Amino acid sequence: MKITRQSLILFTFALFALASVASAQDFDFKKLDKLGDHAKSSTNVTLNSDVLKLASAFLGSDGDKDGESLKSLVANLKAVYVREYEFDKPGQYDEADLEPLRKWLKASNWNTIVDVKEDKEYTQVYMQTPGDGKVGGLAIVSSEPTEVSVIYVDGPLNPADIRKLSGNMGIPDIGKLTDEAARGAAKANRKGTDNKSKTGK
Amino acid sequence: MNEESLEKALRESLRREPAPADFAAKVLAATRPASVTEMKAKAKPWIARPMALALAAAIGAMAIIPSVVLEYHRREEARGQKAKHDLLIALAITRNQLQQVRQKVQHTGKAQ
Repeated sequence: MKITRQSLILFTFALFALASVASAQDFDFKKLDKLGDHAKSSTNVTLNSDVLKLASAFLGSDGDKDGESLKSLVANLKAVYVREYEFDKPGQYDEADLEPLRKWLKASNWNTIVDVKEDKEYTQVYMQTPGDGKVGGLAIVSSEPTEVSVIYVDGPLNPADIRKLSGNMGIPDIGKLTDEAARGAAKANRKGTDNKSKTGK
Repeated sequence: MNEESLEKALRESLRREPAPADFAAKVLAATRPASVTEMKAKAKPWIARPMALALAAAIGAMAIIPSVVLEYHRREEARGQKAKHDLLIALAITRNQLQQVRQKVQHTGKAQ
């Protein structure tokens, strides 16, 4: 088979195209699972677009106006990943386990909006800015001696959505949510310290 | 053959013969209506009748389909409620983190 110059050029272009697709692929959040190996409590939420659509359909279904107001925020999101780990004492996780995510965010054209280093606390906020005045996604990587949080929201958000996300409007308190999930026997135990530890950040 | 012998032959062939002894019993047996037990024995079982089978299948389907649909809706409802709960947890954590970031940025700004 004769390899022409044209086919060689085409092959090179195909290789470059494949490489760019590979770099733009989604981050594998399973890589972060080892962060929680020694955690005393962990929250692991993975919502893809199908689950987000399903959740959106149920927002406001019980006549809740706050839920209804969140529908527009959630409507266009592609994925939401949340990993939150709390530890009994410092040194129970390896800060280096967060590096692949930080590297991937930088390589995938996410802009670092906030980068705070204070004592042993590191917080970075990344945003994707496609250039149409909207935000294409929001990511927060926060590490403290006894707590690690990773939040990755993929999908278009407008400034009002981000205000909504950072304010109290429409989003119930996390203590209320965790209580709902743990109705019954655990409820009595949960009333005190556990809720405080989850919300008191 | 003369006229007399012809007449004799005709009489001989048209002569009335007595019926066999079991003739009446045979006729009665042939014309008697079948008894109920004989009819039952001859009838096909209901399971072998296509119409009966179709009817039974339709009744069965009518009984099963609503419960299957109900179960599907119940599962979808549970899935949706779980998805909604997970989403609200994710948004609440995001809110908390954004508020923390805001405090840290303000604190760092003041310190500088």
